[in-house]
Amino acid sequence: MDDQPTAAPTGHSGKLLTLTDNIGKIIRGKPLEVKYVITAMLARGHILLEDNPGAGKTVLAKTLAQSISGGLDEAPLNAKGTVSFKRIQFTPDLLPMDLIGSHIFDDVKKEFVFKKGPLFTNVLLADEINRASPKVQSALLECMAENQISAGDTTFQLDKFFFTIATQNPIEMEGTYPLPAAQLDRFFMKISFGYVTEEVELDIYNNYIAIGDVKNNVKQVLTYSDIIGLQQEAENVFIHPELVKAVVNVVQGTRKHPEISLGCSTRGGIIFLKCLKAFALVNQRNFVIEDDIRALAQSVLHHRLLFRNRDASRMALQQVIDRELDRLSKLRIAG
Amino acid sequence: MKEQITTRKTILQLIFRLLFFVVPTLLVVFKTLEQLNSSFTAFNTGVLSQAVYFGFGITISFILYFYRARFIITFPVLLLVYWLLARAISRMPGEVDVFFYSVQFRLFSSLFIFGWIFGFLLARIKFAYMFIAGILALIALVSISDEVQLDIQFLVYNLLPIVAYTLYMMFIAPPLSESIDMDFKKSTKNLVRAFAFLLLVFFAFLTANYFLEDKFKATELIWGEKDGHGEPKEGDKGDKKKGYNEKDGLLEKGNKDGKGGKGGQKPEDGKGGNKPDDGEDGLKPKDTMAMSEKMSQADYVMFCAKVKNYFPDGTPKPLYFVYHYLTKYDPIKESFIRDTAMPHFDELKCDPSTLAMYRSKTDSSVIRNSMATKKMSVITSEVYVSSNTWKHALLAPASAFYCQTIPVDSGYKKMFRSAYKVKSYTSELNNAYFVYNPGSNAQLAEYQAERFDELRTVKDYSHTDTELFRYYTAMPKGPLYDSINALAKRITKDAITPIDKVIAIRDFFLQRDKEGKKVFRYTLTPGPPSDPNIPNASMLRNFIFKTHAGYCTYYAGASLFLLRSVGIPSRFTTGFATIDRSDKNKGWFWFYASQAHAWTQVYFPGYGWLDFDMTVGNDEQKEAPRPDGTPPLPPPEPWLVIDGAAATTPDLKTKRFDVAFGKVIFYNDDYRLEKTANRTIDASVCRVLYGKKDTTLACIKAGDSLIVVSYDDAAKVVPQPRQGVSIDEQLAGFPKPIIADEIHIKMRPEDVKKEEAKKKEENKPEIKSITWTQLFARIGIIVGGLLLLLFLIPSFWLFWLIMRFNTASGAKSKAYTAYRLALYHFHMAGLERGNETPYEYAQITADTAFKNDFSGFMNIYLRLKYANGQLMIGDEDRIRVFGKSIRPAAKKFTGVFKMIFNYFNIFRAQRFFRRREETSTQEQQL
Repeated sequence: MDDQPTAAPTGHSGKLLTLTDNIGKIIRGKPLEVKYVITAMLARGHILLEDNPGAGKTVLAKTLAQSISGGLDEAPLNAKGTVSFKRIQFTPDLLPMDLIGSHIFDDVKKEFVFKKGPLFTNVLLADEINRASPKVQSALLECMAENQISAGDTTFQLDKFFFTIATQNPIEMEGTYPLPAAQLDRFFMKISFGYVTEEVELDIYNNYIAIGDVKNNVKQVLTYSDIIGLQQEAENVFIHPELVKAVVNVVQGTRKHPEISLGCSTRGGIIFLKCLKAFALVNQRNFVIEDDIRALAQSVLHHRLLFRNRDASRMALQQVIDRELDRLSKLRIAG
Repeated sequence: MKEQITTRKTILQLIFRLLFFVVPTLLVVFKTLEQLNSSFTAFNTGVLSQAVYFGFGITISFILYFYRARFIITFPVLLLVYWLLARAISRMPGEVDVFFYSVQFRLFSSLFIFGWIFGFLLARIKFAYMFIAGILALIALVSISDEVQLDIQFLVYNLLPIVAYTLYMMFIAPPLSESIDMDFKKSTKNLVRAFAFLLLVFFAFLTANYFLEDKFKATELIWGEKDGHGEPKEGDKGDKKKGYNEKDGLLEKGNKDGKGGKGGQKPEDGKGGNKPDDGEDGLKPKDTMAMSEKMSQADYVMFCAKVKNYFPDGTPKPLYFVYHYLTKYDPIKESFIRDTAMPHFDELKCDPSTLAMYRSKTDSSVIRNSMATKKMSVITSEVYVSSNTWKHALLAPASAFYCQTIPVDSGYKKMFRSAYKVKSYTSELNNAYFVYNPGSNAQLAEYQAERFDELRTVKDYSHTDTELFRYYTAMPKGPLYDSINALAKRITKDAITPIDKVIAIRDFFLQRDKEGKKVFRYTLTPGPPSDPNIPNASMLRNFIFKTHAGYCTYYAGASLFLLRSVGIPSRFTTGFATIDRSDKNKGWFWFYASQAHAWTQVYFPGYGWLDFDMTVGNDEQKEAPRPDGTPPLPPPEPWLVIDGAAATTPDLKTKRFDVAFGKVIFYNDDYRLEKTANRTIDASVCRVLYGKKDTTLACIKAGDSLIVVSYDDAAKVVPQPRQGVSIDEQLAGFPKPIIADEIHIKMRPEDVKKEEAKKKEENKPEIKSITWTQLFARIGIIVGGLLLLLFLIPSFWLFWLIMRFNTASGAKSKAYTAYRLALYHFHMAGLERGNETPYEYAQITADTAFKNDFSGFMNIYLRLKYANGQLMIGDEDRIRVFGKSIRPAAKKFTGVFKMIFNYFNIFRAQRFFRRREETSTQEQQL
C-alpha cells in the first residue's frame, strides 16, 4: 500500500520509509509482507513465516538485521557495526542448551561459566522451527514471551530489541513437531510470502544477489536506538474507540462463528491492537484506520483460530471481518 | 448447557416463524377460501372449519419440516393414511351418510393436504411465498372470472390481500423472524423497521384513499342502497344523498347539510348486495349460489311504473318489463348471452340518464323490426327509477320505441332518482297474465281463451322470414338437446297449431304425478348436480329430467329449447315480472329486486313477439309483504319546452329576461325553428335549476344555455297546435311574455367538467362486464406505475444524497455526505465496489477510472473519522472540490445514456445496499 502520509510522521517514523525501501531493494515485489515484518518488530512481537523453501525468508531476516546499526549492550558490535543477527537451523536432535547456551567449566577460574547461546542476539532467524522437539520450541517461546532466559538458577535478560523470525515449511510434514495452538498464539503474525509475479521474478534474476553479498549491499539506515524509539512511538499511536470496538467485535465474532471451533483469545485481541498501531506507524500515520484491520486481520488472527473445515478456514474469518468493515464503512463521523 | 441453548433457540425460532410466516399465510388463505365459498357451491360447508383444517395441515407440516423431517417419507405416509381413511369411510354402513362423509372427507382432506404442502414450502423453500401468492392470485382470478360484475373496488378487495401478503413476506417477515437470536436490541430495531414499513403502506393507502374519495363515496352510495329495504328510511337515505350532493360543491347556497355522508358504510359491507343482475350473462343455470343469494337479499325497490294499459272495463292490464333479449347461448356454461347482431333488432338502444330533461329518443326501426301488424297498440308508461344502478337501463314493456326523460316531483326526489316516459308498440294480446296467473279471475280466463283462439289462426311458420326463423329456432348439438328434442316431440304430439304446442309445453311444466303432487317446483336453490363426480354436469339436464326444481332461468331455458325443438321461434328475455298487488293505484306497479325475471318470448307471424312465462309459482316461499309505495305525483304536462340561451341577464325586480332560441318542444313534438326567435320570459313563479340543484334567478347570466319549461295550467292562454301551420307561425300565437315554470340552466363548461368527472366515477360500477383486455390494461397500468416507481428509487436516492451534500454544513458532515455520494454514484456509474474497503476501492478502482483524487479525499475523510477530527488547512476546500467533482467525473467516465440506463438498473442499486448488515441500518435510514 503506497499511502501518502496523511499526518506528518513524528520522531523516528520518517526513517521507517527508508527501512522499507532498503529492504524492498532486496526483497522485491513483496512490500506488504515487508511491512508486516516491520510491524511485528515494532509491536515488540515475533513473526512466523510459513513458506516454501527459497521464498526469501532468510534473506529478509538478514537484510533486516543488516539495516540496523548498533547492537547488544554487552556484546561488541560485529564487524559491520550492525545489530547482531543469529540463525539457528532447527533439527530434531537440537537441544534447548544449544539455543540458550550452557555452563562450561573454566579451567582457569575453576568454575562453571555460562556460555551464551545464539538466543542472545537482536534478530533471530529460527529456521524450520517445527523440526525441533517440543522442548526446544518451548525454550524459544519462553524467550519470545518473556524476553528472558532461565538457565539453571540464573535468569538472563535478553536485549530490549529481540525479534524472532521463525519459519516453517508447509510441505514435508514428516518428522516434524507442528506448533501447538498455545505456541502459535505467541507469534504476533503468521505470514507467507508466496511467489512473486512474473515481472518481479525477471527483475530478481537480472539483479541476482547472493545471500552472502547481502551485507555488502545493504545500507544501515536505522540505529538501534531508532528501533527502540519507534517501538515506543508505536504504542502511542491513536486508535479510535470505534476501532477498538471493531476489534472486540471481530474477536467476539470469531468466537460466535459457527464454523470456527476455537475463537480468538484475549491475548490475540491485545496483539491485534498492538499490531494495528504499529502498522499505522509503518504506513506513516499516527492513527489507525479501518483499512488496517482489513490488512492485518488475516495475518494476525488466522493462525490463532481452529476451523471446522477447509472451506471455513478460507471463508469464516473473512466473513467476520467483512461484516465489521461494512459497519465501519457506514459509520457517521462523530460530531 | 450449549445444547440447551440451541434447542431453546430453535423452539423460539419455531414459534416466531409460525407467528410471522404461517399465521399471515393462513389469513390470506382464509380470505381466498371465503371467496371460493361464495363462488363455488362445492365448497359450501362453512369457511371456518375449512380454514381450521387447512390450518392444521399447514401448522403440522411446518413444525415437522422445520425440524427437518424427510418430505419423501412423510408425505407418502400422509397420503397412505388419507387413502386408508377414505376406504374405511366408504365401507361404513348407511348410504346417505357414506355419501355425505366421503364428500366432506374428500374436501377436508384435500384442504389438509394443500395446507401440508404449503407448510412444507414455507418451512423449506426460501421464496415459497411467491409460489403461494401465485396460486392464491390464480384462484382469486378464476373466481373473479365467474363474477358478474367487475369493478376496481371488487378487484382491489380480492387481490389486495394477496399483494399485501407478498409484500409482507418479502420485506417484513424475514427480518422479524431472523431477529430472534435472543438479541432484543436487534429485534426492536427490526420491529421499528417493520413498523415504519407498515406506516409507509398505511400512508400510501391514505393518500390513495384521499384521491379516490369521490369514487368511494359514489360506490358507497350505491351499496348503501342495500339497506334501504324498499322503504327508504328518511334519515339514512337522506344523509347519504346529502353527503353525495355535498361533493358536487357547485353552489354554496345549496349546501346546508353537514357531513352526513361520512358515516357511510364500508364498501365491504355491501359486497354482492346491490348488484342487480344485468342479465347479460348472470342468469346462468350454474350460478346457483349467486342467484339465490341475490334473490333473498336484494329486496328493495328498483323502480315503479305506471302503465297506461287497461282492459276495456278499466282493469289494469300489466305488462312484463323487458330489459334485454339474450339470444345467444353458450352450451358449455349453459348461459344466455346478449347478441346485438340478432336479426330484426327490436330493442331501443337508449340510456335515459344521458338524455337531458324532456329530451326524447325515438327509434322507429323497433316498430318495423317487431314484425307485427295485427292487434297492435302504443302503450305509454312512466318509469320512476329509484336504484342508482338501474338508472342507465331502459326498462319498458316489450318493443319500446320512444323514450323521454321527465322530471321527478321534488317531494319524491329522495325516493326516485330519475324518471322517463316510454312508448311501446305492443300487441294487445300481450299480458303479464299469460300462463299461470288467471286463477279464479273469470275476466282473465275469458281473455286468455280469446287470446288462444286468436292465436290459433296462426297455423305454421311457412311465411316467416327465413333468417328470423332460422335464428330463433337454432338448437345446440349434443345428446342433451337430442333428448330435449325427443321430449318436446312427445309432449306436443297431439298439438297442431303453434299455440297449442305452447300450451302443451306449459302443461308439461304444470303436470302432476299420480299422487297429485306437482312435478315441477320453484326453488331458488336447485343445488349442485346430484352426482358431483361428473364434472360440468349439465344443470339443464338435471332440471328437465331429474330434479324438476329450479328458478326462472331454468324454466325459461327449458321451455325455450322445448319450443325450438318443435320449430317455434322463441327467445330468452330478461327483465322484471310485473305483479299487480295494488287496488289503490290502478296502473301503478312496483318492482322489487326479487322480481328480476327471465322468461320466453314466442314469435307469432303477424302478432309479433308475445311474452310466455312458463315459470311455475313458488309454493314454498311465503310472499313477503312487499307493499306498494306511494306513487309519485305525475309531472304536469308541459305545453312548451324552449331550448335556447339567455339573451339578457334577468332583471331581478321584474323577474323578466329575454331568451333566444332555435328549438322547441311543442306538445311533446320536437320542432326546429327556421330562424332564431327571441322572447321575453316571465320567471316570477319559476323554479330555477342548475344541473340538478335548485338555485335562484340571480344565477342566470346572459349567454347561459337554458331550457325553459312551461306547463299548461300555468300559462294563462295556452295555444293549441294547429295542423298544417309551421311552428314559426304558431310561435306568433304564444303568450307574451311566456310564463316559465322551470328553467334548467345548462352547466357551464368548468362545472360540466367537474360533473363529468363525477359521472365517470359514478359510471364505474356500471361498467358491468368489463372486458378482460380492459382489466389487464388497468392492472398493467397499476403494475407499470409501481414498477416505474421501483425503477426510479435509485435515482431518488442519488438526488437525496446530492441534496444532503449540498445542505451539509461543517467539514465533517460535508466529508461524510461526499463520501456516501461518491461511493453510491461511482457504484452506479459502473464500478461496483466488491469486498474492498472504501479506501482500497478509492485507490485501486476509482482513481484510475474517475481521476478525481478519491483516495486523496479518503485520506482526509479517514483522518476526520478516526483521528479525532484532525482538521488541517485546506481540507474543507479539498472536500468541497471533490464533492463537486463527483458527478462530472462519473459522467465523463460513463456517459450520460449509460448512466441513465444504470440508474434504472435496480439490481445494481440493490447490490450496493446488499452488504448492509443488521447493525448498520440506522445510518442508512437517516
